[in-house]
Amino acid sequence: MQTYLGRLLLVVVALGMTGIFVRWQLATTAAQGGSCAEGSYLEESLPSGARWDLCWLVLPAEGVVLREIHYTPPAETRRKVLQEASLAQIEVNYDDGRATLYPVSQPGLGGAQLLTLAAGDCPNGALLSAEKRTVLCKQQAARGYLYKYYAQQRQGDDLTLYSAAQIGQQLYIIQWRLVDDGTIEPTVGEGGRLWRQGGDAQSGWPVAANGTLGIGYLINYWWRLDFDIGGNGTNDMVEEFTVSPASNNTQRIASTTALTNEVGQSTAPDQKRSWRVRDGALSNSDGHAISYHLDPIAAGYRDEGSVSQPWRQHDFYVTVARPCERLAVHNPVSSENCADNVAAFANGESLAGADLVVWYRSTTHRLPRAEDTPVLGVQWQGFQLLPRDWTAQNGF
Amino acid sequence: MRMRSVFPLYLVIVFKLKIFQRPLSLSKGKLENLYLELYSNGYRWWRWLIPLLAVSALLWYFLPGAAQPGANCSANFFVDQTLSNGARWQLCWEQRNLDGIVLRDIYFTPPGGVSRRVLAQGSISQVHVPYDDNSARFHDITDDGFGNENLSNLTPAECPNGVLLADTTKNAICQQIEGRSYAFNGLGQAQQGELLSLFSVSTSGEYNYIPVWRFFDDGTIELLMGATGKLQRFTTDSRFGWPVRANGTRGTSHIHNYYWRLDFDLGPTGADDVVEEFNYTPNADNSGRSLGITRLTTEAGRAINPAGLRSWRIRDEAATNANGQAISYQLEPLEIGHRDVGPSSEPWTHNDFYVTTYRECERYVSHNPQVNGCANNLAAFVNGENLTAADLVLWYGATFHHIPRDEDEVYMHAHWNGFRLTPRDWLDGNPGAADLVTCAVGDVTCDAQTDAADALFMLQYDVRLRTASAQLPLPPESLYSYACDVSGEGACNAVDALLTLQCSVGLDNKFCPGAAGLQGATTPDTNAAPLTVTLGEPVLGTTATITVPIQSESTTKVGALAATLHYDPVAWTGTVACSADPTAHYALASCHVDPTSGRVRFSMIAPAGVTGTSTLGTVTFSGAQATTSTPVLAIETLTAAAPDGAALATQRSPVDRSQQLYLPLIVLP
Repeated sequence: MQTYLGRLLLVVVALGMTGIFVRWQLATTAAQGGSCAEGSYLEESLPSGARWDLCWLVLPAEGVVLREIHYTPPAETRRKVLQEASLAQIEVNYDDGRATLYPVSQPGLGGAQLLTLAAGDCPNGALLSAEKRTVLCKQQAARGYLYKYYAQQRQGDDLTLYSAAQIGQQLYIIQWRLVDDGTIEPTVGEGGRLWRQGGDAQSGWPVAANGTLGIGYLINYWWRLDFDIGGNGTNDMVEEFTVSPASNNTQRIASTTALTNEVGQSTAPDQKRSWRVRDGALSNSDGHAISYHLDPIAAGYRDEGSVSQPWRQHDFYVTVARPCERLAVHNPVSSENCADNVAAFANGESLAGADLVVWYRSTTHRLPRAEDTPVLGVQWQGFQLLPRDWTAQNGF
Repeated sequence: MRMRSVFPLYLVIVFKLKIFQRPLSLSKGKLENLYLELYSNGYRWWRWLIPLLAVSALLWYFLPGAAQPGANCSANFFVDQTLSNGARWQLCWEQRNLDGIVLRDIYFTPPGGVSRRVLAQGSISQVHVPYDDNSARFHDITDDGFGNENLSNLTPAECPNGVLLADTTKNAICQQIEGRSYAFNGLGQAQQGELLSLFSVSTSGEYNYIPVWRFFDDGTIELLMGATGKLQRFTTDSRFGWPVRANGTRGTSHIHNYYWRLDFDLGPTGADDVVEEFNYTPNADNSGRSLGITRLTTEAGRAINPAGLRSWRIRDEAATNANGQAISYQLEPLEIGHRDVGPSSEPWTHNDFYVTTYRECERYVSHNPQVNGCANNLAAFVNGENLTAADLVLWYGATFHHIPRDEDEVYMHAHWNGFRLTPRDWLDGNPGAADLVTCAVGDVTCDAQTDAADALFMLQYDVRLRTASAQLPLPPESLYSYACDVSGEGACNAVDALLTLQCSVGLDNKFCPGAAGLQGATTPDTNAAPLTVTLGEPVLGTTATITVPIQSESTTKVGALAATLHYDPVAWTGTVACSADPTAHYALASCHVDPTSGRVRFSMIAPAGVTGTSTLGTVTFSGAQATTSTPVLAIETLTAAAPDGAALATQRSPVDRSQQLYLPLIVLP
């Protein structure tokens, strides 16, 4: 009797395993043939031998979002990095404290706000269409050294995808740079023109001969990154890196801590704090877990938030994926009872065996200058996701 | 602008010639003759200006140190690059044993503007590399050097689409022009920008460093350092490194502290530059922040402060842009994710930004040669000297803590750090957008005033009596599209009209230029009782007309109200007319019938707000059909806002249960 039960159990387990394997295989090959569940398929092989492929589509709030992002290093396996990547809010807080805008939720970066791009917007690139409008510019460009070691050197390339959205006086360029070495660089360029004028010398800067002040403002850009490393999204783990001084401040010790529950964390330059998302199963040929590292090198200014606006208190959040948790702030409250903002999404749920979403916030500030009239000089802000042990060696 | 820049030059040329021929023969009479030669149309008041200008031009020309671009170097070491928008960068370069490539006399000329010096000299002043296990603490610039045999001889393959600049035997610099995406994009116009890039490569052990200078067509200067090559040191101690091989060998983690030395000489003289620190203090609940500016009066070392949005600028005391604002460059530390304060034996790591007075022997952040009484390191250069009227040097450090990864072998992927110097008020407008004509936010009529006419245009646009146009001068029946969204939510509607009208009658709101305004207008007022709109009883006219009144009722103050109604334009063949706010309840009202789509739009505003019951408007159906047919009128959309612009809840009258009112067929007796 016992042996029968045991065999039955074995058969059930084997069937289950097969199911998981088949599902995994299907997941990793879904976009291989160039088909997307939604949106358009895009693939680009770079001259240095790497390849990126993904799906993209336009949503009313986020504008252009990327899905099923796969990276293939030269002569290596094509692997999935992200299930979805999007700009999940722009929070524009004016220095005089009298106005805060959330253009991603109101009115949204899609729809009529998403600009139709002309050839002049996309030098040496190709314009891609959604709903019969050219809204995405795809450019391939040289990026200088991949590496150099004395006489040994390789030149690298990258793929840049961008769209632009105009909301009244404001204009945002939403850009994704996909580098041949596997680096993903999301950035937003802020253009348009100064919206609010007036105020006093503590909240603005004279921009005209008559002394008219342009009011300064702080911008928080929020990205939502639904990682599914290696295709299976339920075995990813998040680790936090911290560097501490030792031995009379002559040594540095880097340590990693696994984040086990939903949480919001802050950048800390003196501790060189960073995070990585790694796969629970897949490793490179050295036996090291494949991962993507979010090292906030480009962090500069920081917004400390307040009790009444808790989402502004942290720069990095990890949450369990929920379909209705789309925007970092002013998330549409749906029938599924989703919360309003990322601080409320991160309510301590266990991350074990869950599909994870990383939220990252980058802060900038613009104190207007005379040079910002009649139109603003474009100011860029973003960060990098760097592969860590994705391959056992530099494949170039 | 052009006249102002050419005129002193012309004087200089004239006077130089005259001085050369007859150095002492300049008299008032001769000056007047010259003045008459130049200005024969007789603007007499210029007569005092001419000698003044001449003297200042002479002073400017002969002032010590005020060199011309390229005056201090031969053609082989002079870079003179004009970019597509007309901006021009000119500088000298040289190679030094320790510093590697040093740039000197850096001049920027904006498109159509004045050529001005930015920096007398800029260089890398240390690459300090302490390893996590304390097994090594390198000072690559002073102890190894970036010049001489450590400076790489670049090949054309390393400089695609560029030019190699040679220093006697070696290709020392790669000069390239790169696109930099949008220079600006707004008001329906966009321009792609460019930059001039100069890089060299210097080796230090297994490392290959890439110092890059990027000069933008808008005056921005970006200083970057790339690091590539091979990992230098390895360990088996898990505390100090990351496994990079299958056998568990670890690459030792380490820090790169990069420091730049920037000898600014803004404008004609370097002796009148001033350094200011910008700090922000958050207001209550961090809903906003206040800027405080402190002038640094003595030599100082300062730390970054991300939460205080701390930055620094160096400005000239005398030279201004056309607005009369001091020209300056701002240093915003925007790449400070890593920071490292080292042991007490490395005091230069304790701050990120330093300002000192110029001393020839103060060259290196650490291991500075102690000659001519100069100190050993940057922290000791800061010894309380007064900065007033001194030639200033800025020092800035950027840090990267490198935890190796598998990808760093065999060859290491280049990793980059740097910072940016941005011109502030160097110009009086966006270079490249000088021809761009626009109208202020709220000035949709483009008459340089924001008044009731603008509010009216916005209302007319809201009811489709007007179109929106980005073209100037404005075509008839249009408004200027880029000026309409006063409220910042992306649309042009009655709320924008309301806010504009308020500002014009002196009722403050937060969007009025220069006015203290009301608080928080963007969140809907959910507590207020909803505004109710009812389709009233149709009134039969004497001449085959049916008039439907639309009533509105509100107990809370309404600042703006807009409604769209719909009828079937195919079924109704007669004419349709509308009247907005017939009882003049609101300050400004407008309506419009679109017979093609069958839509009737109403829009009205009251700056101080109105309450109670009023007739929002009427729709009149006329024609023979009015005596026999039944027009069907329905409310399609309703929007309302409080006087502060906050959205108000709206509802259709409960009487109007089906949301449509079927007019009864009325048969005349």
